[in-house]
Amino acid sequence: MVRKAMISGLSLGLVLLLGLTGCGQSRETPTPSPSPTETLPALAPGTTVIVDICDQNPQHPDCVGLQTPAPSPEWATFTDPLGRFVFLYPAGWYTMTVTPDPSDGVRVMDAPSLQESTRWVSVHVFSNTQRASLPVWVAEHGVGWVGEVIRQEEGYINGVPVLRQRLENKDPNLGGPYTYFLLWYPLEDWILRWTAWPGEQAETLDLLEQMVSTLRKP
Amino acid sequence: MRRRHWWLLLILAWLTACRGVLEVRFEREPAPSASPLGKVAYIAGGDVWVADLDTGQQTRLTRDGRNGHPQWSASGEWIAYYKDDKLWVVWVSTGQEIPISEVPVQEFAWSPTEDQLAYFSLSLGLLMWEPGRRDSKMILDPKEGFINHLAWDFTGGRLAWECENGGERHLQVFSMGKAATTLFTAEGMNRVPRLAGWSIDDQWLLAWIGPASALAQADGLPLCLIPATGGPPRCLEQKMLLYADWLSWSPVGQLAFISGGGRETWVNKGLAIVDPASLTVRQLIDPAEQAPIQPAFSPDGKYLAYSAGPPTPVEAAYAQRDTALAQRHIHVIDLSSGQRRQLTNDDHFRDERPLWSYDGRHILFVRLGEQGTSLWLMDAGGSHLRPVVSELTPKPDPMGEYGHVNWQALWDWWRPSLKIR
Repeated sequence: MVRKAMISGLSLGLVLLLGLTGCGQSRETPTPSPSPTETLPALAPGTTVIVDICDQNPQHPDCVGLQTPAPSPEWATFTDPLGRFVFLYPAGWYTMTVTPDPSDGVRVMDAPSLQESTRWVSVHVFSNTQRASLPVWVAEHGVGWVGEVIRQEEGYINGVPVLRQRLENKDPNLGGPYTYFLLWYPLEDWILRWTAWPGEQAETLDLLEQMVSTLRKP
Repeated sequence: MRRRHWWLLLILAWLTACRGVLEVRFEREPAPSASPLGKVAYIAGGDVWVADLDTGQQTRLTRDGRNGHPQWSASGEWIAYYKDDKLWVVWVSTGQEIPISEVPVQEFAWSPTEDQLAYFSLSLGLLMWEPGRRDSKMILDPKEGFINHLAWDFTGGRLAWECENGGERHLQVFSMGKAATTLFTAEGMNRVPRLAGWSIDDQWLLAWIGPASALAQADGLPLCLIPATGGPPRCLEQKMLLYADWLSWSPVGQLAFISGGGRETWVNKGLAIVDPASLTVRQLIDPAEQAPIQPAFSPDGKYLAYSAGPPTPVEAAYAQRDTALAQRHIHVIDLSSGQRRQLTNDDHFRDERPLWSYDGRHILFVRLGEQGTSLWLMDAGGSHLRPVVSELTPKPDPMGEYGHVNWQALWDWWRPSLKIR
């Protein structure tokens, strides 16, 4: 296939001779020399950086509600101690740090202790350094609660893709019965798992959605 | 006869040496073909080269190692490309390089029928350049907004783009000599259009419509068809990723696309075709069978070539990612029978972006291997594989964007008389 048979040593020599003497310029080797990749940034995609459009354009009308939330008589602000996010929760509710392995986070509840509470919403923060999509991350790592996911749907909150799940545990030997409503939310290198209990109670779910919609970076 | 032929070549080599610009080499025998195969513009060492697939001649057109995104003009006489972030063209037959813009250019696109180059610069607006004209012609003032994703229709008569101005997002269409008209305006930030192109009959404008969030777009949006004469968009139900090379038109107006949401290109992806008029979808490959990408209709519309790896269970997506990507090879599906055939199977290579020759007798594709990235040509039946370009550099990151490599940044194929480019 290669035309090497046609390029005799004599003709190759003549080409080189003419090339060298014809214009007084030296000829480069036919093999192109590598160049630094930084001169072509578009050719080296590297790590994908995915951003929320409201981070770029926070003044857009659709993003106004997403500004760093301010406390009000009805709402208090939770600020993540690691500075990853802030969100609003009902004023007068109590916060409790959740076990930090393999995730960390906070639970907000309507009573000083978990045993006394009739409603709570928690957020657990998991690492997602590959920035996997939510369904893939959840499939790879599991939901992390005992029970069975009986319903799942994808959606958006403030334009950010989220995954909503309803999880049921009917086994008294495994801490049941209970129903949790889960909402998975991607945030940079983390995935937030929001959980609302009781998961079958409409007003708890509304509260969860309200809280998630106030989530912003500080 | 052969000796006389070589003296002509020697003289040609001497003449090109005098220019100090062109560099010519031969790599292989001309490929026998009923119709010309055409030419590939590619990037090697950060420079623009041209490989003539009919003669085997390879010509270096730039020498500063700062170039990328080569795109052919309709005539095959010109190549536009980025030199750093500036737009340049080179006249292929002479090697003459011409700077088009002294300021950064964000988008450019050649007309498919004329040597007309549309480009957008934040500081200059939308302009049109033609060979022989000293200055570009202003199409849209920069104050009119920020433009994304230029797309010519297949006749070259109209140019569409996304326009963002003061938070408003529009799809606009422009015909020469007329003012641009708005075809679609986003209502809020949750139904924002991302232009995908035109239907082959130019009756529809294609756009992915969904939230403006880059997170949402990374996981795919539904593809919608907007009547070119105006009207509400009609959208497919399923999501797909926003890659233009995941769409292919048949000559009779069917659209092949890669279905399935989720940014991971090797997971949960299928191959389907849709009839634009009825939006009837025919699933050709289920995600449980293969993970296809980059469909390409044969010129007669009877076959689809595509690259595909094995299906990857979603729960093992990242654990099996490297294996899944490495096993991408070229396949063809016969649309009348549904029968599939694997055309490449060399485990040393990952094969992607199959493109058909004008006569449908050959397929050009890109190979990633340990030694580098190269372009190969084969007969449409999968025989006579041969490398036609040995090096595409800078070597792209094989992971690309979740397994999608933007090959347009490295090569473009000019096929004589091909309507669908």
